[in-house]
Amino acid sequence: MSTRLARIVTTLFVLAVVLLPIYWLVSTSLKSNREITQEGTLYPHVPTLDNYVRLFTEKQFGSYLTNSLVVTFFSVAIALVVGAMGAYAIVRFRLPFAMEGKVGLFLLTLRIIPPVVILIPVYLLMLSLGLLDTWLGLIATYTAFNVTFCVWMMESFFREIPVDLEEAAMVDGDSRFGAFRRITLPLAAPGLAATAIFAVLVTFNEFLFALALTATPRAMTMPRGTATLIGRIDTDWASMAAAGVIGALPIVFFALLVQRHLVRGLTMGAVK
Amino acid sequence: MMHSSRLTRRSVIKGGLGLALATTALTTLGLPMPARAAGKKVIIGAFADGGLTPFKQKIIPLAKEQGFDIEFLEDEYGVTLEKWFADAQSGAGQYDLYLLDDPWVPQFGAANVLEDLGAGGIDGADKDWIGSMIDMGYWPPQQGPRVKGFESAKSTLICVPFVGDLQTLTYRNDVFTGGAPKTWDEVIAKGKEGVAAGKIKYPVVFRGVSGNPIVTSWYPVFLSFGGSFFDDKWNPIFNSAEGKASADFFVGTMKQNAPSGVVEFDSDQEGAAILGGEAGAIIQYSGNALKADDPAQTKVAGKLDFGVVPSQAKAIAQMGIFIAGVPKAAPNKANAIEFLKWYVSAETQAKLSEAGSIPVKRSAFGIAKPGNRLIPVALKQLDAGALPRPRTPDWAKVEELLGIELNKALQAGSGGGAALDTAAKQVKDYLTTAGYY
Repeated sequence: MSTRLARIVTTLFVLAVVLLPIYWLVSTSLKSNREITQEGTLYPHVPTLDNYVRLFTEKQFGSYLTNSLVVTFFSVAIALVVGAMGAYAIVRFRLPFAMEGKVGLFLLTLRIIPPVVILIPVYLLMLSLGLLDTWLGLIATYTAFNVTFCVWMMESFFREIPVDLEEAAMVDGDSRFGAFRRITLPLAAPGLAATAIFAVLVTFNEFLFALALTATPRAMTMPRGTATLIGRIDTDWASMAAAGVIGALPIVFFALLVQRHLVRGLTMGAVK
Repeated sequence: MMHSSRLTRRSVIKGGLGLALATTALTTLGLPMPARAAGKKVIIGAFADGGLTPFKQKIIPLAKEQGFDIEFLEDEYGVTLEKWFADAQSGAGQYDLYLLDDPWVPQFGAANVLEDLGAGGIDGADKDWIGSMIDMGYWPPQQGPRVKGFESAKSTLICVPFVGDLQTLTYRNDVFTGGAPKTWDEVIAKGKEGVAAGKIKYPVVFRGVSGNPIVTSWYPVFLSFGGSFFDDKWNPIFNSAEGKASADFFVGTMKQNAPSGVVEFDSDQEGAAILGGEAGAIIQYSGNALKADDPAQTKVAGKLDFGVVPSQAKAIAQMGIFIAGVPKAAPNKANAIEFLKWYVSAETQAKLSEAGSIPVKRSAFGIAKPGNRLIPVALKQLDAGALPRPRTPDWAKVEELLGIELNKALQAGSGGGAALDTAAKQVKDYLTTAGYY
């Protein structure tokens, strides 16, 4: 009995830790700024949707959200295609001796370089290409980051797929690319989904490059646009909370849709 | 044959994806995409601040009636300086007009990245300007010390005042029943009576966070005690006897009569204290002061009045105006200058005053119905005295060094004078390294 009680208490504690910030965010988004800053209430005493309305009517949040969705979709999609092919090549083809076994590490190293180190070169590059404050500039930047991540992730998934299956397909007359597309890629789908989720999460939430590369609602992404609510001497906390709620929805929705793949992807190859 | 109506994962994925794509497409199509318009396009970059609300709500529509196609781009205060400076230096040409914070003018001026607005036809000698405001638009400064390299340079109008933001006193009229407190001693003494009467919890509130916030809060106290920041050779003199007295008063007496967490207070917390009815008095900029009559923003609407900042030796506020500059790389430079000429005309400034914002032309303060009670008080403050921060491109660093030391003293609750000595040495060392002497 005491074990059961301890389990319940632990569960409630964990739930509280996990859910309290979410509750606080949603609750804050339904309060007025006055209630947030001057009254510190536990729940909205006069619930209002004004903060959500203000986001879209005064703060151009629709543009920010659209930009985030577009940039994330294209950069992740391109990175997945390029990354999957790159990972496949690393796994299936013999590389020059000096590169053997080192490409993955090299790509990982590129991925873990602190972004701020390359921020200024990327800014100058985009400036010279005329891509500042454009979707294309952000897509190119995020794709470059995501490709390294996708290759690194997908490499391990492709290693788990027996080469015999592709060889059998090629013996039956399929081409190398056909075997990759029709046999290997479908088998690696859970890994692809897991990779996509992480890439989407990282891209959708990215702030630093969006801060440097965008200046207007033309291209500002959701996290970047939300920061514009921070004023010199006053911050619109209510709108920021509403922005947080709306900004979280696409990620939650996406994660719910692909969670089955995520679990399969994460455990792929764990047990042999 | 029965058709299954079960919601499958596949159908949800398909539906969700379709919905997302359709929404994206529709939103994109429906967006007011900022393509180059046929009208007189002007892209204005601004940082988010309540002081610009009347401009956004009332003046932009007027400008549109005049044929200007205004694109107003707001950003976070903390990033705008770096963004705009990079934009101006690299010639990226993303803006036609920057609404700068006035201490940034020297940095842009020294880099020579802003247009000469005098040559563009804006008359800096117009007597209708508030003199202390238009002075801030010149680089190098027309008066006072100049930094090395600019001693003999011609003073050029590179910015024009945009919104006349400055510090004034906001106080509780049920605590200070005889009107605005005249001195800091009165703020504390009468505030204590208000606390004893249960009307307020604290006589005063201010910002104590290190850096710009604490320096901004201390500055009017410092000025009112008779302090000066630099001599005419850029030697720090803020640690004079007057300066030390002001710092000791600030970290000691004022802290003792402020909320317990004041060391960590920034604008939000001090705003909550005064608007929430806890504090008796505050020195603040217009962005927050404009909320004093709005019941949606304050619990004590009707109980907050405005006055000139308290004095000990004099009553001098810090100015922190919005000031507009046109980058040399502006894509619609001529439109931007034309817009500025229209904006600073007496007629438009009168409209700005009617809208409730503090104007930059004296005639606009005298209109029959200014849109906010703060406006006549702001003029009184300007006439009583209002000073900009020292006009050097290195002010941000100076402010940071001083802010750290003041914050340490505030945490300790004493030692303000010693903090100024330490900061003065650090500032002197820094400016020496920067080639000031």
